[in-house]
Amino acid sequence: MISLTGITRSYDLGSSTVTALDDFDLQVDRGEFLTVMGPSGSGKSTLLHILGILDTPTAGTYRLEEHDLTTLADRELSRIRNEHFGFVFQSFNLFNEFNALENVMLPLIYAGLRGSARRKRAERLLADVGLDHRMYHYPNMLSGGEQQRVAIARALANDPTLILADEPTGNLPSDKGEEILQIIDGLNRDGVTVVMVTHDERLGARGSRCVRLRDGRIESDSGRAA
Amino acid sequence: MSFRDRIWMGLRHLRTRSVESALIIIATAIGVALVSGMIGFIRAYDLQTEYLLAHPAYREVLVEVIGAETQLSEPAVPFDPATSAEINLGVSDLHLAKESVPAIAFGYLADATTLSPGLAGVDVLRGISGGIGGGGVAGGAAGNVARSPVPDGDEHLRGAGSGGGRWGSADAEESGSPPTGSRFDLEQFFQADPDVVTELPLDSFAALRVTADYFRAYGLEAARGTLFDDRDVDDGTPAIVLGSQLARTLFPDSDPVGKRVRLALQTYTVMGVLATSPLHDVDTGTRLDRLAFVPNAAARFSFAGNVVRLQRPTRTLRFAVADSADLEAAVAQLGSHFDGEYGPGSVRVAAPVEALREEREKLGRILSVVLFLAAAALTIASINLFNLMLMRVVKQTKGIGILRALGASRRDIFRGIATESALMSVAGAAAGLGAAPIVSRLLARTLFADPGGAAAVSWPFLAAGALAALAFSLLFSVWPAHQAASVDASLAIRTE
Repeated sequence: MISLTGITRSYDLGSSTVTALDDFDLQVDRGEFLTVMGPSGSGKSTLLHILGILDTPTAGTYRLEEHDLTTLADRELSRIRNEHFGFVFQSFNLFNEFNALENVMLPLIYAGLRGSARRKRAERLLADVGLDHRMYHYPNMLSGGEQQRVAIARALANDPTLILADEPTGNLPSDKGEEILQIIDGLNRDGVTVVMVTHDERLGARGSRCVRLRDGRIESDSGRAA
Repeated sequence: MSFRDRIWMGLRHLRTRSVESALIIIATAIGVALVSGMIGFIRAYDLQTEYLLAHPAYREVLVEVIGAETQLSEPAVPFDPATSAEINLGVSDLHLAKESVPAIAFGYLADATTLSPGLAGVDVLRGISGGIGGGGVAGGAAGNVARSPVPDGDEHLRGAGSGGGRWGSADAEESGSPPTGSRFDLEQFFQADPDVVTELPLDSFAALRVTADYFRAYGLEAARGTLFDDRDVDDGTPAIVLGSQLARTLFPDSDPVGKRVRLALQTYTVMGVLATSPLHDVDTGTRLDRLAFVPNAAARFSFAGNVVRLQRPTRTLRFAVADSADLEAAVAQLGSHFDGEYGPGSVRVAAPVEALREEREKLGRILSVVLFLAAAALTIASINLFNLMLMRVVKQTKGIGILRALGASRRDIFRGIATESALMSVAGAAAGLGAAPIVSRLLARTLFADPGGAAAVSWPFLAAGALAALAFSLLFSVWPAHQAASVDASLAIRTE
């Protein structure tokens, strides 16, 4: 599904250059639950952002299915991001000016879905994560766990093929974290590919494959699932 | 992303950042109001110039005795031929000049006064009645404010009162019925005639004491009744002509023509009501529709069989040409005429239009400065807008990164920020446009004694100003929107 070949991402800091990913190769198959682990500064978040085409590699090739994403224009990349990828962040990243329903509707707006269809879809997604009674609540009126469930509903808005989760339970108590993981597990069981960055060894073991990074390179890879 | 969705998201962002948004809207509104108001005012200024140059007052040539020029604030003073200026301009000068100066089409007097209904000034008359009846000294004026103390040449006061009182401001043409040696009851006398109106809705109103040519020079016609003529003026007929609006105010429910009204101890008969006129009296800024007109002769009134005249001296003779092109010739010819009559350097002959032109030149320079200041204000407001928008973009960096993660393209972000800016600019422009006429009128009232054409609000010009200012403020929001669209999504998301 995803093929990264020779990906390098370096940042020019004026007097020096920092390399976050160094000649990095990675393949992710459809339906995999890939966990990415490593110490701070190892390149986990950079990898996640490059996978989500939020960041552009300095060198290398990124292929999604048969498309070379490194050659596409911003508008096309944005459409792919909107239709194929769903992001779940550690700090939820909901918009406080919108209620839960409106937050979930945002990706649907960019997808061009209109009026009532957009609303119905968002209502169903919130019901799926057990928040049908909290649709009109604003983020500051929701608990951390509820906010993350709204974020997951938002990530699923356009039926993505890939969920990119950056420490999705990092800001949650363990019981709420477990609820979130169960939702993600469920999505993966339904065929959604998941790439999850985590510091937590227990969570790392929860995926079907675990890649460990160090200094922008793969230190270990538990191997592709056949 | 549809336009409607952009508006919806923009409004939500504005609501969330209400203080910032309000500041931006206020800054825009101030800039738009100033620029739009100024542009509107410049148009109004042009209209006012056209209006004034077409105004009969600026086809006038004024003749005044040097050293005895009109002082508007000067009160009426008792006239004494022995101590008055040697040169006494009067109605006879008007007639003579009209006959000998071919460039002149009209010659008239027009002095401002105030009329009050009822028995205002009755105390003054007590002194007069005492003078008539028992030799008291008369003095003071009867409520009117005269603009010039030089008497009409043909209306000198005629001898002393029967009781030997020294002539101050009044005289009795006939001595007669007031009982000698007893106190005369003026209130009873004036209230004796039930057909005379003594109470009116206004405590006082402005009037012009004019001669008949004034109506012709100003193109005024009677809508009802008639206007007084030269004979009425010469005879001192107690007639009054009302401006159309004043007539409605004083007599809202009836036709005033033929009514007798007690004004400042005089009983006037309403001779006519003027047709509506767009003109103002340029000296006072009052619309002619709101003025009353009485004959400019020695004010005359009668009581108890006496006809009393108060001297109403004139300092300024007014001549008018039919065509502005004749003004220069009229000034020269009148100068020669009066030099011949009274000796060189005795009278000043001047056309107010010259002073108007000089004033316009000065105002033009002031306007240039004000316009420059308005443009500077808009630039400062736009720079503030620019800074506030940039600050807003910086504050929204993380949000922009998240939107990018949700599928927003750089174009979507640019349009989103531009929509927000446009919403604020439009709100500010609308508020500014609403305030622009106030700015425009304020300038007109501050700079012009007689707003005339400038009083009208030129909406197309105000709108043009608002659009220009709106475009300016939108222009200053392009860069912040571009900056927002250029945000590195990956870095933005990591921003805390």
